[in-house]
Amino acid sequence: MDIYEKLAILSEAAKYDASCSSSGSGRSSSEGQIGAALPSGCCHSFTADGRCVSLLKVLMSNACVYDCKYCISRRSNDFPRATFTPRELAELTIEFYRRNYIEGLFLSSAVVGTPDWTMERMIEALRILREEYGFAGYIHAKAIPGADPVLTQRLGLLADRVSVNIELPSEKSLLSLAPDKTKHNILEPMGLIKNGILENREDITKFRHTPKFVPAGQSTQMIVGASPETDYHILHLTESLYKKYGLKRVYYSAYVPLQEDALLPSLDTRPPLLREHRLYQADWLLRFYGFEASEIIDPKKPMLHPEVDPKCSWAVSHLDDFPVEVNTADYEMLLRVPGIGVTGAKRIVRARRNQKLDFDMLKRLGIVLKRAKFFITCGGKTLQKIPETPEMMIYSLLAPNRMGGFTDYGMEQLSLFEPVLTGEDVIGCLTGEF
Amino acid sequence: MSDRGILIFAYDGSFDGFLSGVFDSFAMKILPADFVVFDDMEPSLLKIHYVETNFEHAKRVQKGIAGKLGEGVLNMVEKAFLFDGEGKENAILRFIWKAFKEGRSTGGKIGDEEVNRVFKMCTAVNYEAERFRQFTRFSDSKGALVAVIHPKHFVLPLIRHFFCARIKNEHFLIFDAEHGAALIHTPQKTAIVPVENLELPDCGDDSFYSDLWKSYYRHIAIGDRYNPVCRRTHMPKRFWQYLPEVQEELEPGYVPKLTFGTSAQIADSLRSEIKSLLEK
Repeated sequence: MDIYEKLAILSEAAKYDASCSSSGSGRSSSEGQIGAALPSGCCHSFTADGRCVSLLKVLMSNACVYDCKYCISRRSNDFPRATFTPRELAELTIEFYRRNYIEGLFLSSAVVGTPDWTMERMIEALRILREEYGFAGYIHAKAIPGADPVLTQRLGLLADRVSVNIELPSEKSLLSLAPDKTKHNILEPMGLIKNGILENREDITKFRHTPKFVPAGQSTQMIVGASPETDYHILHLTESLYKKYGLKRVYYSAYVPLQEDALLPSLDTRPPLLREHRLYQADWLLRFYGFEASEIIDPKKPMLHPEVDPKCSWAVSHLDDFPVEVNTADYEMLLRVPGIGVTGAKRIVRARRNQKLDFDMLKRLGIVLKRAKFFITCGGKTLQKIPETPEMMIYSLLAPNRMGGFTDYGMEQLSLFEPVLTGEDVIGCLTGEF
Repeated sequence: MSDRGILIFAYDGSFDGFLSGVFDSFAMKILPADFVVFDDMEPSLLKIHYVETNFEHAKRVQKGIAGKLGEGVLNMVEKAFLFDGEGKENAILRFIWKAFKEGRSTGGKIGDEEVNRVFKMCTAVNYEAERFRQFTRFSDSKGALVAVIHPKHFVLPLIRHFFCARIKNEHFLIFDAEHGAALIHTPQKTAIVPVENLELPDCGDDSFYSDLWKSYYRHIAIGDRYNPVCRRTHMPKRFWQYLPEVQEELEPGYVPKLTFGTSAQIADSLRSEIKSLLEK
């Protein structure tokens, strides 16, 4: 089998891994080396589905001994199999890299033979890249659950980021859909990496030439929509992964049905892309906006609202905290205003240090007032009358262009797509009342 | 400043030439109505002051800005000068005047109209530079790497470090066909040089790896999630000409548009400001 065919099979098999980021690590090359990594990462292309392509994302092999029901590479599937040799893979990475196609390599693998044997092959590929080619670009490697801790340790010294996929949001789903994997198997390497990172951080302050261990931190991924867990469950799980395991990212992957199985959603199920999108928005609130999972979602209404983003939902149910005065509000509070993001909040803080802000200035700073105008004042003034009740606010937010505010409150909102929600539906979902 | 706004400054287009113009503007206590490159000048009834490029003056202005207004303001001036659009020189000159009047904090007043113009120019330049870090593609021509780009702004100085840091042992060339300049790198030396017309030698055939890359790109997409709008948002069509993976999807004869929002906005707001000054 030639390299062209292998690449086709092994990239096809890797495409369901959501992560392709190359951020969090700063590396530079010395004499005779090639490559560098930027803390901010860099996307070099975008697939036809709009996802970032930053790394050469492939499996080492797809000849799997496991039989996870949701997975395309499962043992019982009749599917072409291929395996890269470590050297082939290293060479391909370098050639792509020097043409500025990629930032580096994302290496995962099906379990070939045993977890240990698989990890050894992966480590060999990374070793050739780092040591023989002097590659100082980004490497993301997947730790194989069930492999010897010593191997995980070695992998961590070669890679920038290591991830272990949690696969499904609960032990019960894991048991029924991925019978060869266990919760313990997944969490063990995660804990190992976490401790490794902590020890390494300490060593770096003590010894000058300590090699870096997983400098870009670890991440994980779970499939959304293949099993019955709610958004409430998923967001709390996410939060505890960030807090307990110090993860850098949690990825969600909308389940794309690939095969018929009584335990899985039927083949004609569309991937829950909107749900995945809302989960990512909520995830952003956890990581960059200082929110707690319990603020974003209520156990009584355990799914995120499809029509209103989680930040708006929060703001609408906390109207007492608004409007905030742009010239005096804390950075943390500015971040909670719908329509103001991290860039916007930073610009406001920079600009107001030197002069008092008005609405024209906000516009010049690139703040999108479409939503923000309902939640802020400038010098005590609002841009237009602020809706007083959550109901009015939602109508103003959902159709700002057509209604020019809440004056048309009471009109049914027209939608081309979904069955139209009634006012009660929307408000019930947002305020947690029924 | 009684004759404010009745004069046109013309300079040679270089940064030193521009700074010499800034020097003249302060020496003459005049804010010109327009500040243009000789070559682009249109016939006008207004008086023209030809700026003579004077390295000593340029250095003094640079030192003065760094010392009195801080490195932050100087950085803004330098970055905004990479912007390519009508009214750039005038916008920066007005910003410098304002900064000398109001002090160090001017760089932070990004909500103010005059400061915001320069801030927006910097943002646009940064944006363009990031796109060319992402979407510049080399092809291997007998061991040397070659890329041709058509950026809106002069981004070579900003992307220089990115490429030199990662492929420092290679010989490579990035030709900016829009601004007639090239970034040339060998393991010993790097330089940005003016290049009028570059006849690229026959590049040889680099299709082995570009075909592998195209195949990789096709296989990594998930058909059930097809989302062309999202792709175009992150990777606007005007960059596709550089990307082997999507070149074939471009309709034949596609010509990228290089006129665009920020530039037009800045030219407009300057024009109206100057008009109102002239009417006074």
